Amino acid sequence: MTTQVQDRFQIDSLSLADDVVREVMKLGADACDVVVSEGADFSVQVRLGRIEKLEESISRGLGIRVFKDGAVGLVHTTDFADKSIKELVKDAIAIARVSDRDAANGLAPRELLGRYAGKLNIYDPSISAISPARKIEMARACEDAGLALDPRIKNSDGASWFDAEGRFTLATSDGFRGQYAGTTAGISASLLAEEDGVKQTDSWYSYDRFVSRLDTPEAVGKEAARRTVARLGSRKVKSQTAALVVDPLVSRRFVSMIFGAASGGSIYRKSSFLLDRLGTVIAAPGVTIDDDATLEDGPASRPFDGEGLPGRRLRLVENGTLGEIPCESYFARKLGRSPTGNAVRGYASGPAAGSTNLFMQPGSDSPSDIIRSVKNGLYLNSLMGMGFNGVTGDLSQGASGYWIENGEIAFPVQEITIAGNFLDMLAGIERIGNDLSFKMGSTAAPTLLIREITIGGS
Amino acid sequence: MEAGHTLRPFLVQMIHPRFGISVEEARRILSEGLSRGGSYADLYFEERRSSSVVLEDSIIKSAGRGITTGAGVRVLKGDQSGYAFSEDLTVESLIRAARTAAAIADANSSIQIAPAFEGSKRNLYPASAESTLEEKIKILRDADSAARAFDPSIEKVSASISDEIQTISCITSEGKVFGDVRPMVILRVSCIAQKNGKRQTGSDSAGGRFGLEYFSERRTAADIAKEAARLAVLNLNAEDAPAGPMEVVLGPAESGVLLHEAVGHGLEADFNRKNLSNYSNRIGERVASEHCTIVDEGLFSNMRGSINVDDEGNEPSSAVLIEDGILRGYINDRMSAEILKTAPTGNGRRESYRCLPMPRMTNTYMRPGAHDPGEILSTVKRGIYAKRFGGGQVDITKGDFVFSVLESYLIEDGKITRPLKGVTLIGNGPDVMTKVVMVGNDLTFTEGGWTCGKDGQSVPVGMGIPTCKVSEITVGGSRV
Repeated sequence: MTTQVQDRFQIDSLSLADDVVREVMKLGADACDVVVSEGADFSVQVRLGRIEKLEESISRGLGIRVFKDGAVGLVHTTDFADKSIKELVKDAIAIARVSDRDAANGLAPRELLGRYAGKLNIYDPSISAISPARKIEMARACEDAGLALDPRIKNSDGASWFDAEGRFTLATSDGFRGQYAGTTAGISASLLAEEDGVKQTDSWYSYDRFVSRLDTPEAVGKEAARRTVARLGSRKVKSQTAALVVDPLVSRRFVSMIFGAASGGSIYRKSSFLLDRLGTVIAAPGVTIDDDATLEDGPASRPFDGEGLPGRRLRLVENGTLGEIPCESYFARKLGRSPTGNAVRGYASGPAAGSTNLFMQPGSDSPSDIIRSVKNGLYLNSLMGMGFNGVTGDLSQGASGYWIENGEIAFPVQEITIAGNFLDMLAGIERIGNDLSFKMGSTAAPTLLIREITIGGS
Repeated sequence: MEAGHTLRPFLVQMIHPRFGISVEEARRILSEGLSRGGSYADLYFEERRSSSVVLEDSIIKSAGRGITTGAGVRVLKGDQSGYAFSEDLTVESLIRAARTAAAIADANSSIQIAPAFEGSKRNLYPASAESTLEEKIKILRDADSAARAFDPSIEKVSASISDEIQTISCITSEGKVFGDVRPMVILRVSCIAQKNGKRQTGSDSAGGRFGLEYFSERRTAADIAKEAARLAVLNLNAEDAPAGPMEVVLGPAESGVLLHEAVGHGLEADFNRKNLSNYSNRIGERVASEHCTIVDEGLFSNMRGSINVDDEGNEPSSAVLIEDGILRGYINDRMSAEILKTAPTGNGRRESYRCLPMPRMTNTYMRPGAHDPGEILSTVKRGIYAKRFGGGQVDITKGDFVFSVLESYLIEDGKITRPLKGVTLIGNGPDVMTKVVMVGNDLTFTEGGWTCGKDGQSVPVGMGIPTCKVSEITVGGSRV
């Protein structure tokens, strides 16, 4: 297998997309765009030293969005045979006639089309040179290191290696044509600890676009083991209000909730707790949140979005004030705003606003200083369930982590809930950690201290 | 409805014709899969034709259609699985996939592929007439006007109708050839209500393995839309819920999410054979109160979780998981049944040809008890009545689970009084199940669009439960 991405997929998908655009226009569409998305995935899972699962495949899909008389239709297929694509093209025109005229429909504004010209490190050619045997060996090393860390680690749900190469191709009837490929690789372990007949599990992972930047398999396995053992002896606490320290595993979800609520679709549908809050204070003064598709080494960096708009940086929240509404072209038109280059697109769906590298700017406090400043509170590192009302911001979710007493981690806690209004929580952010990292994914935030939360327990 | 259970073997020549592969070619592909010493292989074809129409602001916002087609080759060796798929359904591509999957084994021996035979089939969801886009648009417009007419506070309505036909065809190295044609339709309606600057949301969904006749024969679009609107309006006046342990009465149907999270996932045999579940090695033990008999059954007509045959060729069953509080069995796929030396329960399901099958729930329910629902409520002095749910999650090792309640009320002196804001309930599976102290006589199944996620794969499921009283469960409210 060569390291050239084009060879791996065996299809000239940019020419294919061009051809399909031409076909659709020939049949009388007013405008259209065509997306081809391709992936090459490998994964192996090892459990207790033996290979449990090994999967490897190349996948693909093609989607057409067609505009006719102000209406829109979407079709997709995974069948790339000429005959099937021809039928799909006909179908696309027919289906556009079904929907109603909507002035907001259409491709992205032509004058905004383009491609981010700066350097982006999103493709690691060395991944395809790693042999399956080496990948299996790394998964094994990861699990072995975890199993060996502590005698209380009694079982494993496996350690995995995965790597993936994705290629995204877009051609539009306005003349945009673009293609980029990116890689990701990761290693993870999920372990089980047991003490006094009580079992606990936890996991850890490392993931990056470049293999050389991954944590070592051993480090990942050990961290999974450390986290699992640390959960032993978990108990409930009494229902109360207390301070909340939020681990980056959870604070990153908070940032994502803000992005979702601020997005054009949520605002236009009035289904957002951030409705009518643009330009107003929605969080404590130190809170600044960016979405930046142009970070040179960002895990979600990309040259252009799902509508052909260049990757850019968007300041979502500046010093607590909501600064921007992330929009694809449709909701931008509905709201009288500009699209922000945030359109995410798969072959089976139309564009929708989504985040790229989304992060809260770090503060100056170390996580340990933050913990030391808490007399009595919850260190939250895991949320459970879907108890969040995006319209009101009311939140009620299952929680686990540690209890903090007099500035020290005292014992692990589980089977409790946290509840409150998310806007109150954002306003109550008192300290922001200096520990921002993209190691957990493209959405990231540092450790946070929140003044007060309601805890449901015993 | 036919319900033939016995396999009547007869030789077949062709996998489902739409995939263009003959049985002879399929056997060659399987041989390649077993060429490195695998003990079993299967070749799974799938085509999914889907369509959706979306209404927003009283106009048809978009319409879409899609076809995904592909085939996956699985090779097993004991508890090891190799898997590869292709969207290019040529013999050459599938042989390449088979070689990739074969690499899970590393010997030279090869197994003979058995002659192909096909079993007779039941049909739990007879194919309905082809539906037209015009019919779907009418359903959406009916939903829109019914929601808007429900209350002047309804400010926004969106609705979508999605339907699909999944056609599968599979041949195994043991010679079994099977297939299924699975329809699914779902209407989702969501509303925003606004009053005095306060906004709330409500939504509902309904459908199953039906065609569009569902909306004339079972539940009308207007009905589903009114329910969404009712929830939005109700929530405008909801109060903060209390925090901490309380008595909880679970309403019928959707409270089945309790069984799905607290019991079902923990009883999936893959977790149990690996000793990862808190229910591992506990068959024969008491894991719930004597009022609880819990069953997973893929055999109900037209139900969302029903299947004529699972994705490994096994017949779905009525699997009693817990009987009068005693753990009786697990939810099995082929591999776990073999390892645990028990019969497969017909629960080997996969999201698509891109995925390996796993033990998955179908329709999970609790058998009814003797109590009248009103009688159950009357025994609660102060507690919560939980009626509609949003979803849940479980940690199968420690058994902790949550489920989020979208409609609930305070119970005071045996009477339902004030509505409460959405709240999460949290508990530990085996602990909460022993606290089920009363079970009603009103077993009802939900027809909502429930989808179960596991290991990155989503499959449609059904569930049902009668009214139940749980003597104590932690309520995640915001009032201490």
